[in-house]
Amino acid sequence: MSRDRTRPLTRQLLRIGHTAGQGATGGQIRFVALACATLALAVTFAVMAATWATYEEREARGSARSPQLRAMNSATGSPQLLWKGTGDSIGDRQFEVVHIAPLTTNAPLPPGLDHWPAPGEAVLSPALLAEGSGEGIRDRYGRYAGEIGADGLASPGERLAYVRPADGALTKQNAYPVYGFGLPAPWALGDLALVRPLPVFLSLLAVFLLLPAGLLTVVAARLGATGRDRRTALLGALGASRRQVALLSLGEAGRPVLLGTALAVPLAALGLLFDLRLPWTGYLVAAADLRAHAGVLTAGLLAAPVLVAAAVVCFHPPSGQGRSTRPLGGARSRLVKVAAGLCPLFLLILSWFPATAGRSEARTAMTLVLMAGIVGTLATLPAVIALLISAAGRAVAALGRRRGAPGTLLAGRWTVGRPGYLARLVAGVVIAVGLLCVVQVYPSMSSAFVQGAREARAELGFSMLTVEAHSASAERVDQWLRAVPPGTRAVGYTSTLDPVDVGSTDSGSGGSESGSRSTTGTAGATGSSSGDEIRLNAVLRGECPVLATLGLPCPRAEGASLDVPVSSAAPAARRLLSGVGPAGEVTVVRGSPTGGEKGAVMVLVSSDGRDLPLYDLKRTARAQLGPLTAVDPLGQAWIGGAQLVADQLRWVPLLGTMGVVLVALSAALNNLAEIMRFARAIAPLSVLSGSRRVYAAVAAWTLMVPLCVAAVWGVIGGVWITLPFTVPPRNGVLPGATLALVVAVLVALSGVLAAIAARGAVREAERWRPQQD
Amino acid sequence: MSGKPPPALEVSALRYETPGRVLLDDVELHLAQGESAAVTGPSGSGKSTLLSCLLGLIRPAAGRITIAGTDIGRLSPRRLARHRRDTTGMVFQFGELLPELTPVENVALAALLAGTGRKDAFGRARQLLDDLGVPAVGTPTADLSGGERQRTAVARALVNRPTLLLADEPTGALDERNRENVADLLFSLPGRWGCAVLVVTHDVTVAARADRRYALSDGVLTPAATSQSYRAAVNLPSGGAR
Repeated sequence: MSRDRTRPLTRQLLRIGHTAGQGATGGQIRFVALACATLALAVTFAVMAATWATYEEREARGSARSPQLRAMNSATGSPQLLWKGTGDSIGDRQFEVVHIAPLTTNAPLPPGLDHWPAPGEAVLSPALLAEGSGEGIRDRYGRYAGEIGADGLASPGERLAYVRPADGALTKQNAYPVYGFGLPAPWALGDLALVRPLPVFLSLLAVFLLLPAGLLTVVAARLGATGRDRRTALLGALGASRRQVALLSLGEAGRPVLLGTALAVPLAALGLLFDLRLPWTGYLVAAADLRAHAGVLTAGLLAAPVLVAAAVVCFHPPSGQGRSTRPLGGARSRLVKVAAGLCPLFLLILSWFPATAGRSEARTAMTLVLMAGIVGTLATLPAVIALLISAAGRAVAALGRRRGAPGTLLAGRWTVGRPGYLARLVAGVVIAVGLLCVVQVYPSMSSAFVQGAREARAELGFSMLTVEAHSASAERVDQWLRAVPPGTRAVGYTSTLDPVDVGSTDSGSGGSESGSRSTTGTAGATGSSSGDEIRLNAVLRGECPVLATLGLPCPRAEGASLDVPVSSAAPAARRLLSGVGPAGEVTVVRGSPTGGEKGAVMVLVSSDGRDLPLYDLKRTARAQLGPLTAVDPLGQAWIGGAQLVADQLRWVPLLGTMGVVLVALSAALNNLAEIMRFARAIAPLSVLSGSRRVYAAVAAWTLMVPLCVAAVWGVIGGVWITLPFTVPPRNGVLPGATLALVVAVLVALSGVLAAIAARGAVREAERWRPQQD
Repeated sequence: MSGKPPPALEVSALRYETPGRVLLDDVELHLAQGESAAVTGPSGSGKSTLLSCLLGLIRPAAGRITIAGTDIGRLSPRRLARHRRDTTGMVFQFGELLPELTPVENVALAALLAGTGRKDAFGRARQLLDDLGVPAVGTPTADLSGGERQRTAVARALVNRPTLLLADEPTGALDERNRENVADLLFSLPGRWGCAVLVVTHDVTVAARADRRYALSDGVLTPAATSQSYRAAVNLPSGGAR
């Protein structure tokens, strides 16, 4: 009985709430805000669920392909195959090459392979095949024998090769004896070695998506709350229960929340149906992974409307705010002025920091000073911008008056009295853009080694290559060197790191012939030392022509050596010996690059400075010197490592841009109410004068212009606060393209918001009636 | 052609209804240029609905409204807005001035929005404020007294030289002294500027200053006591403000 009575009442309350929402002042803006908030939250939860699903499935496939180095479960007691992973690169991107060779006739296959390749054959992942087509990847490891199946790849875009070298090339000395595949925890192999741990990535999502989406939800829930609070108080006085009041609120928010959810559903469906390549990062999300955890994804989608509905019911701002159309006065304006006055202090701290930090020993204190400078600048810069815009309001008003432009006059006068509003409007954007700059530049700080490697690459290109053939005999190496293209010269290279007695490092300068020395082991040792500095000792071993190419003198006799100052070598050789330092010496030995010993480490030098045929040399070296031979441009390890970090950081601008957009949207929507109050104040006038254009001008001046100014100043502030990171020795880089993208997106967004505000204001005006009855 | 100007306002057989309720029923009203009228009535009697109809903000179910010789019911929304701008001014209970602007800017704004040139708009605004005794510059609008604010609102309503001036409870928010001043000012306008003035008010002493007085009750507009007899009844001097 009571249930029969409750049902119609529930429906009735929901319906009344819906009607009240439609009729409420600024109702359309709240509709848009709630829909956007629900969409943002739903997408955020879906992305988090998809991330979790991707990590789960990627690790599951990684575990399944990890080699068992011990007999596990019911496996037989003898190894079944030999397994050895090495690295290679396409462009500057590193990837894994796994060498396998069966030891028994029924040796297990790694996942993704349906048969054993023949000796000298390679099976490649589709992504490797596609991306390496210009570098001869298909034939680099032997005959191409097909593609690795999806179940053998951590992710669809993984670059991976399984290679079965010629019989006998893999041995128990250079490869792992393996019993089978599948471990409880995966090896860091392939893509699993390239990604950051799940908690790190989820933290990134939480900071850049969840927090801004949460902020937007709170703003949307509170938007235009004055009228609702009055209604709630009235209903309370009439005896309505909390549940009934909540039902009214839900009725009001129901449609936009459902719309936001409905908009998120097709996006999630796309991810479930197709492998999606993400913009900017290029990461390919596997639809199959998401399908395997469709339940989690659905739960994520459904959590969004539930949370937004809860926010709508729960958030009640303090009543009595914002009913006045009068300019904000007193305390708030003073606070803005005080904050603005403090800003130069923080800017000074940041500009003084780089010079001082280099000398300072008190690192913790300096870090605290740096943090104070960054946080202080981000907190006070919006106040400066607000006061500047507010001051510009006078000029804008004067311009409007001079030109007889009512919108400009109104907006200018309105701006003058509202530094607090302006500070709130620009704060979100300035802080978000500033933080984005910091997170962009911080990880891009590179060591002197990476800097040196990049400079070497720019200078030398592929004219100097390193060759590591650890298992090749001297005869095989000599034979290979005889077949390399004309103009390719080789020099043996050995280096050791030794401790140095700081007091006895000066060993004199100039060449001094001192008989032959071993180029292996501790070549170039400078004696024992109790000091804590280390020195790189390098030995170059080659015939006179290659030494001449490197600008080094040739010892008179075969096997003789010279200690030569690095500074006297040719530029290319100085790059090669950069670790020794410009003031150091290199030992030059005349002889064959291998010195007749197994396991050559050499440098190939182009006699005319032109690029060497890197990809051909990679292929022939592997074929003749052994499958584990590595041929790379000088400094490739440093550049490859830096590229890996750069690839990982490509997520930051992608997520950061989305976060900044959400923060800017929240800031703008939060202040739309202020603009709508102003719109209501001029409604009678605009109705009587028949003018609607005034709203467009007001919205442009009061919303679009401050947001655009905030975007530009946010970037300027971001450049300033990252100053300590972008100068030597930190050498961070602030990517201009990302900043330009962020500014462009914010400018576009501010235009859209101004259009929404103008349209909302016109609708308000159209609804205006004389109401004294 | 006759040189006689068309009536400022002519309302005939006006009817406005919402579902289940008639708010205006067969309303007849005639106001020549240079004349004033007052409509009184209790809350909910339809006064604001009548003003909304006269402004063309809502469409009546039946009847005809002619302002300055033009039947506004036949106009497209765009032409209606233009006609309203050119012929009708309005004064509100709370002035509806923008505190951010100076008094002269508040007045000039209405002219600028109506497309008047800058020089003209500010010149007229200054002149009107001078005539009405409001400091045009120097004092921010927010610091004006209630009476000064309402006089500024009158100046703003007049700046586009309307044929018909509507006033919606123009003295409702004022103390007694300011109420008298503003009421005197409003009913002096037909004589000074030649426009017609229609005041909607609760206040019988204000209404008594009008040439003609109407009472609106349950949507029906009826002529009330004549001005002369009403003035006598409320002890106003004969001839009102004119």
